[in-house]
Amino acid sequence: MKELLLALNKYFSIVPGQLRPYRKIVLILALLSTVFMGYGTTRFVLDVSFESWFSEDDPAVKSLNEFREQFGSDDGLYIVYEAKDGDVFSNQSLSLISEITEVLDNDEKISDEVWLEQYGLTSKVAETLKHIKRVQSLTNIRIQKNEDDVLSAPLLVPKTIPRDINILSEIKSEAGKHSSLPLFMFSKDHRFGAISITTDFGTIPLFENQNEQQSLFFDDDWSDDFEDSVDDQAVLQKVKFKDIEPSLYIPFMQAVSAIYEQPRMLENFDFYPIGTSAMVEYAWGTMIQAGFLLVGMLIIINLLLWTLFRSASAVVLPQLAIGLSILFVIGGLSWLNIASTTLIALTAMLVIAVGVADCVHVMSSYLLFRRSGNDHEQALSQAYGKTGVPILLTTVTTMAGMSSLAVTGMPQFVLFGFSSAAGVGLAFLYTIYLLPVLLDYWHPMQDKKVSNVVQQKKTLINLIKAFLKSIQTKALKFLCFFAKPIINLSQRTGLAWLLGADWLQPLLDKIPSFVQRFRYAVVVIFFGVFGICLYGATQVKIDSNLVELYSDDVPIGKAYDIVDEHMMGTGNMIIVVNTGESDAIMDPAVLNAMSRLQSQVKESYSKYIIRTNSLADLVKETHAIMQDDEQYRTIPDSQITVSQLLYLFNSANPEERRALVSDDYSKSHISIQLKNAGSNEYAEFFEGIRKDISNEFDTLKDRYPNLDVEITGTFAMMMRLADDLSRNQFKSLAIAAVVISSLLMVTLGSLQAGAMSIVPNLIPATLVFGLMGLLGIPLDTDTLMIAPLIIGIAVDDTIHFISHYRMSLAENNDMQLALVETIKEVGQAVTFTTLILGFGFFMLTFSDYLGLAKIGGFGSLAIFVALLCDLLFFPALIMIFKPKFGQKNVDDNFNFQEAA
Amino acid sequence: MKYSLLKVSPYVVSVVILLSALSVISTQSYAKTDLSAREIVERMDENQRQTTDSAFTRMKLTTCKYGINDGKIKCVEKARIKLVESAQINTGVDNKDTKSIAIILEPSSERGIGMLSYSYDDSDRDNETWLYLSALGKVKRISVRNSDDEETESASIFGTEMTTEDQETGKLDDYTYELLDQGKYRGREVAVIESTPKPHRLSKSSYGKTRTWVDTERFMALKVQMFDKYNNPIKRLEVGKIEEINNIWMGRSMTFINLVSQRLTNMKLEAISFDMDIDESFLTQRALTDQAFREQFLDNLRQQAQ
Repeated sequence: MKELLLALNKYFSIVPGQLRPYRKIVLILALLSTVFMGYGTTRFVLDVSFESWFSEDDPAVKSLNEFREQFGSDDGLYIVYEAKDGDVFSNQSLSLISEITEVLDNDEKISDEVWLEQYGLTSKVAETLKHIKRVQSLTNIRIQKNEDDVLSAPLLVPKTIPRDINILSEIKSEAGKHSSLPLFMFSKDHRFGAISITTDFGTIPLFENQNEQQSLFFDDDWSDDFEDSVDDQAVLQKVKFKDIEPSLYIPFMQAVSAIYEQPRMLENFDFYPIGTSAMVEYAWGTMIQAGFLLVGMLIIINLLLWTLFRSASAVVLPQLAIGLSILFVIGGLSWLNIASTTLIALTAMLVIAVGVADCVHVMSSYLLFRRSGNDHEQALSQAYGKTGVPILLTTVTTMAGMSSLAVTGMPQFVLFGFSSAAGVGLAFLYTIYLLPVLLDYWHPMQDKKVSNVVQQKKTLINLIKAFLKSIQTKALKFLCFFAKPIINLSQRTGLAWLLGADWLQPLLDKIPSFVQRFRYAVVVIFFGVFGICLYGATQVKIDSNLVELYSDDVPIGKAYDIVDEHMMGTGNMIIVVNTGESDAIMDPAVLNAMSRLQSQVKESYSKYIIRTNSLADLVKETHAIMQDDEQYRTIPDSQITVSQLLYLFNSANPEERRALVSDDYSKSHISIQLKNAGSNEYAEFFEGIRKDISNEFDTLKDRYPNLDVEITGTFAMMMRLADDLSRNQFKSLAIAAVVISSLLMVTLGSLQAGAMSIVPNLIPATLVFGLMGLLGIPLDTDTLMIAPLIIGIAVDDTIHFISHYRMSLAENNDMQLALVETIKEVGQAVTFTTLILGFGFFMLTFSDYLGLAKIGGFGSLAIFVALLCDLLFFPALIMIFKPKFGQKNVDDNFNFQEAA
Repeated sequence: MKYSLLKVSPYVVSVVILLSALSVISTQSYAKTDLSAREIVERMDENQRQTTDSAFTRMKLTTCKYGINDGKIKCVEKARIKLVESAQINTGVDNKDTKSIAIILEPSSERGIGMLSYSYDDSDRDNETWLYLSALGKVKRISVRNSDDEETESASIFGTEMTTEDQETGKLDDYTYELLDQGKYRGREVAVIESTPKPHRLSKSSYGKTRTWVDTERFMALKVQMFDKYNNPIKRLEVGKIEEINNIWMGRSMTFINLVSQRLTNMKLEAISFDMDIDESFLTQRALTDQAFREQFLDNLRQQAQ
């Protein structure tokens, strides 16, 4: 092993020299591949759907797809409004809502000029309103009436909105009598109302092989006499539906909100839209915000890089290498036609993190050698010789950690794991093979400044000013615009001192003696914290809650709260009843089972269930209306009667019928409206419903042997996701830990050293899980990402630290010397990568999207804790256990206090 | 309840008659036409309205999910078959009012469901429709004010793939027409006309445009292609078995193909007769509720039709 490592050291040290004659070719190759990948990114596809968490053949997805195929999509928009006068039935409220309803319902009649002048919408944006299929509000909804054997369906609210309070209160009480209206159209206290918009999103057919050029007079050979016999050979063609992209939702939401956000409306109402359109619009906003935060992260990285290296090339070139790595990942995915998920942003962050660390170590080492008098070529060779192996090690461990996510089998994680591993691998290749070539062209200390640079002790601020002055290009002036306020601010807040980094070396010098004095205390404290966190980690709850991804004070969070509390609830669960036989749904026994199941679950889980709806309700209501007697709000005893009631329904609205029961009347479903809650809270409820289902339907299996009753819907998917997460959370983490530990053991050449290095490596991740457990922050699809990220980032520095120590020990056979040298040489680079990444990630905590904020916060915490592990805990362990890392004749005496 | 039971009724009866009339044409003959698109449509519309006094029809509606075999459209499941008989007379001053009845004979679960409809020329007088569900034994009058008819969302005819919108006549001003081309189609001189709903109409329509292959000699549609608002062809009507009966050309087999749900409904006119002797007393509520009374009348009409 030792020989291999030495050979690798040697290899990395000669790489820059060997590349030098071919540097033009390397550059050209890099340029060409960049162009190729850059072009690939134009094919980039982003998949933001919830289903992207599951593989296509996942049973939960299959049943949801089947459901959608059968009953259609319900991708609509539900706009809840709160009347500021406290009554949605007041003349004023009704008049204004009527206006909004009219515009939404008759958008085609409005001219482009009016859209622009009154609503500020371009015709292109206004055009998206054609996706509206139906608008329902208090002012256009009809009620069914049966008086004296006359059926009628008058509007609940007359076209001319009454002013008379008595008439208005009659309308109010009439509305309350129709069970389908309260909670759907208005809240029980009449403070809230809703406009329900049904769209064609997800149901726009996509016809392939559509031959538009076909002649109008092409003889399509229509058989004159149609035969109704069944042809077994005929092939059923499946119609695909257009995928809905954010690009559709965003202008649609913009157009709809422009209509209700008229000043007059806002004076009288607060609006809270929910539904995918609202969610996507909001998610998009978050993405843009995340973009700004990333810019902030970049500014911090730039500032810190400049502080550390005080050289433009040292700031620009690493970022170029990292940028190219990210470009290659995105371009590669695009060329492979793999749709990316939002996790691609995390991949980018990970590559930035690892890439920065790689480059910082190389540059830091390079500068160290330059400053000690070596020329460019020598310094470069030495720097690569010194850092190549640790970089290779961290790359391999990070790639292993990320790839271990693949064992979860969850498509998003598999994709994230592999693409991140690829990104990290690319960052390694760029650092090792492209960076030296770039540095040959442009490197720090170009002139003969070498000797006096060390003496230059200017403050950071002056240096930055000098740097900015020296570059006259307009582009950089633009940068100054942003940098100047930051510099001014940093001067005032003392950040300048922090960034000046003059405090660092003296501080690092003091560490060994400090650790020696308190070594037992340090170890006890770290183990104590580790123990507490281990306990905390066992308390982590797995809970996916789609709504809690956003903080309560952002509009969408508020909207969900209101709909859960006052209206019909935001969660939806669907129980699909498939009898496997034509017409069986019309069997009163089946309808009665559905109806009983509804009452049963409504009674047992009134805490969660707001309302349920099924074909059984519709049959009962039609029955009562036709019999003109509330006593007949029942499922009729005879199948013929059911069939005739359904005949009415089918004739009246075939689309609605198709949404409730299949064409051959073999399949139907019960839809359950729920209050939104986390998957954890619902686990028991979910199980209970399963039991209720088998209680009700098992007896029907004699009659319908193929009867199958299943739970689906996004709610079921969420439960499924929670299941997956709980099964996989520690699995992938454990695999990562085992892989990384074994790699460390092998490369460090000793079991003892390997085992010892595992603990500091595990502390950051354990700490985060422990805190989550203790603070009651659940593990969800976002927080699950934190662990691999930490393994990817925080552990790297520890590996640099340990491997440097080991190499030094091999060279000098003196523990004290090795430790001092390691802290001095690597300590600085490690501190800087920690500052760069720690602050960079901290920026993300400002995101409104709690998923990102949590990753930022915990990631940043883990990075800082990893630094403490490297600088305090690991030295303390070495001082106590004195591992020899496979070396013989090692001087294991520590006496820093005397040395100090 | 998200649907209105009322939507079912007012259309059904008149639709049966209109359906039969859809392809009814006069025997006048024209060569390749110089008429504008609008004029062709007017001509066709006029022919469609030319229902004769006192008609009796018996039609078979076959609905199934379809597949393709050798380029031909075929049922892939056992078809649902409905058999409907209907009768209509013109009455009132100048014979401008209409009374009509439609009774479902098959399937047995829907047997006896009936619709009776009176429509009045006098716009102050609301049309009347009665609905009878045999299983409940109750007649319900359906109250739809003529002025209230703005909710024109399309309803299905007898729960098949045919919708009321497919059968609308008149309202020509709601559309713009374009003559796309003229040529020979299925051995006939044909003009292909594209009609696009005007904005106020579009918001209520299921279709973004339709293309009709009009026989320019007989002024009847041979094929209609319906597109959604994104220009996808979503539905098609094929007219077949074109025959001349009692000096009237008509398509006795019409197939509505829903390209999205992949279901079709074929409507076959098993019998159609005009100028029948239909007693007005038959077109009353008694015909809905009194089975013996109804059968007696229908038997009589069936014999006349033969």
